[in-house]
Amino acid sequence: MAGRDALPVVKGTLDVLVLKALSWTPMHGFEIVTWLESRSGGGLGLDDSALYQALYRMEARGLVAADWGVTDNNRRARYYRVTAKGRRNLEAETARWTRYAELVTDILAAQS
Amino acid sequence: MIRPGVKRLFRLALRRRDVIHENVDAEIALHIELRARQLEVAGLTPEEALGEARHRFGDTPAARRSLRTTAEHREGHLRMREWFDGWWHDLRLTARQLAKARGFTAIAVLTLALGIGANTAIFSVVHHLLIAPLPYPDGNSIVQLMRTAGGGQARFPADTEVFNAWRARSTTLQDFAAAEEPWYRLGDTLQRPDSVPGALVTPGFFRLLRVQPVLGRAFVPGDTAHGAAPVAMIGASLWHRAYASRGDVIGQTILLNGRPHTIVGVAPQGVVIPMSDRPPREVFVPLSMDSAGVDFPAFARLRPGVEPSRASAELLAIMRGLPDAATYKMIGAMVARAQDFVGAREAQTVKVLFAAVGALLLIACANVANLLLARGWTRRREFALRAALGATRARVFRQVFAESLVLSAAACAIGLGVAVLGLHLMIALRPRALNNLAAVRLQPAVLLWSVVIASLSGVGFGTAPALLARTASPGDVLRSGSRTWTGSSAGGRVRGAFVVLEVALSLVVLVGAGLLVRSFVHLVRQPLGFDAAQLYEIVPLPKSTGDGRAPQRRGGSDQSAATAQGRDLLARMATAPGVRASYRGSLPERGYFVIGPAEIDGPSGPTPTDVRSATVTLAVPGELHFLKIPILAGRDLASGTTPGGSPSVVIGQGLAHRLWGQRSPLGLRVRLNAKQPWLTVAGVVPDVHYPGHTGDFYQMQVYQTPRAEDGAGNLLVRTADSALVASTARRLAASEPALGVPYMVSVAEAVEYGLAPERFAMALIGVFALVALVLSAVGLYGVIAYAVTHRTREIGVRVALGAQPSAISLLVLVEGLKLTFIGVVLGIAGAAAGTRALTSMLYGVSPLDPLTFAGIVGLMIATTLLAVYVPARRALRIDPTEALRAE
Repeated sequence: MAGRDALPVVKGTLDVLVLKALSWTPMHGFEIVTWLESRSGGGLGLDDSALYQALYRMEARGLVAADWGVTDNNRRARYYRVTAKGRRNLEAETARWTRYAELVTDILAAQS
Repeated sequence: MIRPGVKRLFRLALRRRDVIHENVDAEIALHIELRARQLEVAGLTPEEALGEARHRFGDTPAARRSLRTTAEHREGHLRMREWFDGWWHDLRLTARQLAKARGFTAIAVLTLALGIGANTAIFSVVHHLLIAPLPYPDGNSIVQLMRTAGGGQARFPADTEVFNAWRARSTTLQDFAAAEEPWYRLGDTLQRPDSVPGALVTPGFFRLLRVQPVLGRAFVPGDTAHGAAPVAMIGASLWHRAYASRGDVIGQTILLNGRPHTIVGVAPQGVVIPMSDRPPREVFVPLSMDSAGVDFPAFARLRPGVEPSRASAELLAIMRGLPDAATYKMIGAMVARAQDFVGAREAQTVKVLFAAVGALLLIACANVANLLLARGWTRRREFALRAALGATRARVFRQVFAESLVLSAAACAIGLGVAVLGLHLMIALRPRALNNLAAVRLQPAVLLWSVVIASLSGVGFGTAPALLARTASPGDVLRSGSRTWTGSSAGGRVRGAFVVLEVALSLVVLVGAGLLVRSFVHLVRQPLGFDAAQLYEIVPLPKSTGDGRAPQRRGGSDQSAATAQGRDLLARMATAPGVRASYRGSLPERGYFVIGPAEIDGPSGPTPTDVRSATVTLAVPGELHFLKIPILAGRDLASGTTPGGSPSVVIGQGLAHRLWGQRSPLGLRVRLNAKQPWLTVAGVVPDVHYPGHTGDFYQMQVYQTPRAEDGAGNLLVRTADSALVASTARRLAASEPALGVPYMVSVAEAVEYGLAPERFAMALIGVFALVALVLSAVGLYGVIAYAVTHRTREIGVRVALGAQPSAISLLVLVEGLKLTFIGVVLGIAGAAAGTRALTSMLYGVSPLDPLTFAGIVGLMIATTLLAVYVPARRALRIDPTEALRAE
């Protein structure tokens, strides 16, 4: 659960986080949100609607695909899953982010 | 956890906006509900939980709108991807299906490729010869001025008097100039390869072309004044080659045919005399507009907005207004653009090829249409089945479209190859008169045109069955299956009509080809009229590179100066070792020609006749015997004149008949026009026929002994050792550097050359005709084979009921022959109408030659029998039990 002082999601990282979430199993929107919140211990702050914006965009780009399914409680929900193209994108973005984070950390650590 | 739908490979994109919005709203609703429940579990009241859930979602009308818009974009993207995926899928499916139907694919693609390729190659030639403008600013307004005879059949230059009248009075033309194309020997070397194409041009020539010298100046009127120092211009390529593009070339002296000329300017690269198919000139020498007695090709520019026909009419009117207009009574005038000046025979050849290749494309299209229609009809069940299974009609249509597209694309690719190959073939086979054909390039626009035509026919006929299948309900089609074939009788009729068209068109092309072949055989077999074996003509000066049809002109400026020396030189060559016999004069019919009307000496003075032109051959006494031309009546030419004072001549049979009919012409007098002297007929000889020289124009032949003003003439030599004679000629010429180096022409080879245009046309049309025959046979085979397959069940029933095998094959044969028969009848009618266009290309064969027609019809029927025979045999092998069980 996101606290009041949660870090805003850095621009451009939401996509890769969503892909990561979906790489485990297909989920609907709320499941993705709860997955992200539990993984970050509530440390990430994002508007829920921003998630849907991201999902729609990625669907248009062919990174994820969506289908209507039924939840455990028998509710109709739109389930998202990663496509092959999305998986490739996730790998590439992950590598990029890791390298970027290491670089930034190294630089900052050396200066302090 | 069951998640239905998740495993589906793709979902279909949503099209309706309200559905998209509903989807978005449902997603938001679920999210807020689930979030609220989560918050409730954490201890909030339901109202608080709902409020907080809304807040966290950021649920404002603006946010909702933005989500909806994004969702709409998303569906748009998905639709596009779906569309591409669909095409990709269809194309791959098509490729697989076509790969399976190998025979169908190969025939369809090759047929279309042939049509496209042949069309493109021929169109490119047509463009080069008949459409491409001259490489000068506003080149299409440059015209050549000519006089004509025989209704335009013969074209010849204006003489000085007429030319000057035109120049002085014309209001439709400007920038008059004249030019001739002699070759010049450079420097003092004696090798022929050092001769370069030159031009004798009037000072206004460069203004006519609107071309500026790259260095120095163009000619000015003073250059041709009497006693002016000889000057010359050189072309840029010679400047690069021989002077390394140096600027100090101006003022240098260049030896042209051994005479020094001062270089005053350099003309740009590639200046050609504005007639078709001439090599660029490298040396230019000024020509006086007033030189008496010249009849050089004249040129001018049409004034803006003037049509060639108007200028022609004006020139004719000016000519008719001259003081001695009577002389010009039978003569026309015309202006012609360079492309109009392509020899009439060559233009005719190209046009006929054009028609043949058009017919070929039509046949190819009909064939492909037939193949596609047949395939489409057999696939109607497949289409209906797919429609029944939920494929949209657009989807089914698209697949068929994809197939047509793949076929057309493959055909275009191969067709391009065929075009390149065909063009190379034509360039390799080109007649000498079309020498610059080597410069022809494929015209992309033309290729595009053929491709569009072929693709349209492919796509049009490929998709027709799918469109027709739409009109029937899938249920009907599925129920009827292939058991009955009521549904396809309309299709059968359409395809039958295509076969009829193909047979008819092929017949027309074949008849045309047959006539040309027969005409060619006639030409080859036609006796020349004199003995060309081991006969060589030695020409004292490098001849101008005319196309060989223009009769030699009398006296050029250089030639007259060298006459005396030339005569001496030839006299020495005549006794060279290896020469068995020699005569000075010209080959029969290759002298000069005179425009009529010829007049005979009637009881009431000079009487004009309908002989409009005649060729005069200069021959010395004994030359006729030397050429083995028999004297039919009277005697050979003699030196001197008859007692009456008029020179005695020998005339050809044809002329004798035209002038005096059956009367003996011996001793009678004729003059070739009112200005010419009277000639007394001393003897009659058979006509000489050069292949390709058809018509009156060449067939009115006169032999006359050379007069003093007729120049040196050429040397005719009979020898078994032409190399020895040639080397002697060269050695002798070396002692007279002021003269050109003579060269030798084998008369037999020259005659053979004359056949080149016919050989060219015959070879190409023959190829087209064969291709057309094969294509229409393939078309017929396809239709009949398809019908047999379709009637398997019917034939099975007949066999089961006791039909004789002969009756079965008859059934099939009759069906095929019915189509052939209709096609042949239409084809004969078409050929009878079409071959009239060939008349001027035919020699000794009527355009309605019954033998050719009968032979071609026989060939056509034999071919179609063969095409029908194979499916007829297959019908015989049908096993009734299997046929009845089979669907």
